[in-house]
Amino acid sequence: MASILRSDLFMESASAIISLLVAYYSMKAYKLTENRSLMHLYYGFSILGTGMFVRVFSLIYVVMIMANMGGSRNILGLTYTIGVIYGILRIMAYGFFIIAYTERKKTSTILPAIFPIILNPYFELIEITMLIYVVIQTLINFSEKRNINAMLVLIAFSLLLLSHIAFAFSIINLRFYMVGHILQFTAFLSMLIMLIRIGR
Amino acid sequence: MVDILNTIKEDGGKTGITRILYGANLSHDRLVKYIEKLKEKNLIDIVKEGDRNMYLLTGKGYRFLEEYEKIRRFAEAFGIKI
Repeated sequence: MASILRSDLFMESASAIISLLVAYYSMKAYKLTENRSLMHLYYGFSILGTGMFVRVFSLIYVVMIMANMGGSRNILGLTYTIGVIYGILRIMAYGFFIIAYTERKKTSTILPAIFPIILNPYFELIEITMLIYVVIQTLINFSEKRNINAMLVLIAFSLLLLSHIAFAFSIINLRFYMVGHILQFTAFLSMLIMLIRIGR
Repeated sequence: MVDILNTIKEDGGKTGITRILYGANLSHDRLVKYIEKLKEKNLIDIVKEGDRNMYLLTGKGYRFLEEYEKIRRFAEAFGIKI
């Protein structure tokens, strides 16, 4: 269990750093071009990265409390609250990605994307549905551009979607929790490769 | 403005106003306005050759175009057109 937690925290921290790097690049791009979609990408990735760090530090804090106090009902309440905050931050981040893509098209296609938010009460399901929309947009972009950078972004968001599916199943089997983190980390590695290629 | 810089770069880093007019596809008035802004930002220099003005891409201008190209590829990877 401890090794799972250590790997989880390491992968999430690395993913958070990459997310903030993408956010930084998006802000740089926005300042130069004043393109609003880039600004929304910045908000999305910075909230996502921040949310991941919040989860990492909160988990470390919870582990420290458990080591000192043993099991406690207060811990359950705390971990539940952390989960809710993390879920909300992720939904906000994916919401900004959706806005970035709907603004790009300058059409009111946002309605189908937000419908699941109104209908589904569970965070993972909401995030999965939002990410399906984002993956479709990146797939359309890759089919138009046919370049490696667009493919890497498609791979990243696809892996992120798969990671959420794995997390949704983790209540059935804990193995899915680790699979989810590995998929999420690989998603951000794909983003990092894209950033490195662009920077060369 | 990026089109102006790219036109100058394509001509080996130095070119005249007519080439820029056609390369960047701008009206004369707008071109003059943009040239002034580019000069202010030290992205281009203006030198006289005979009775014509020649427009040079500065080192800063080259670096700006490199950075812009990276940002264009970044935005394109996400499907954002700039």
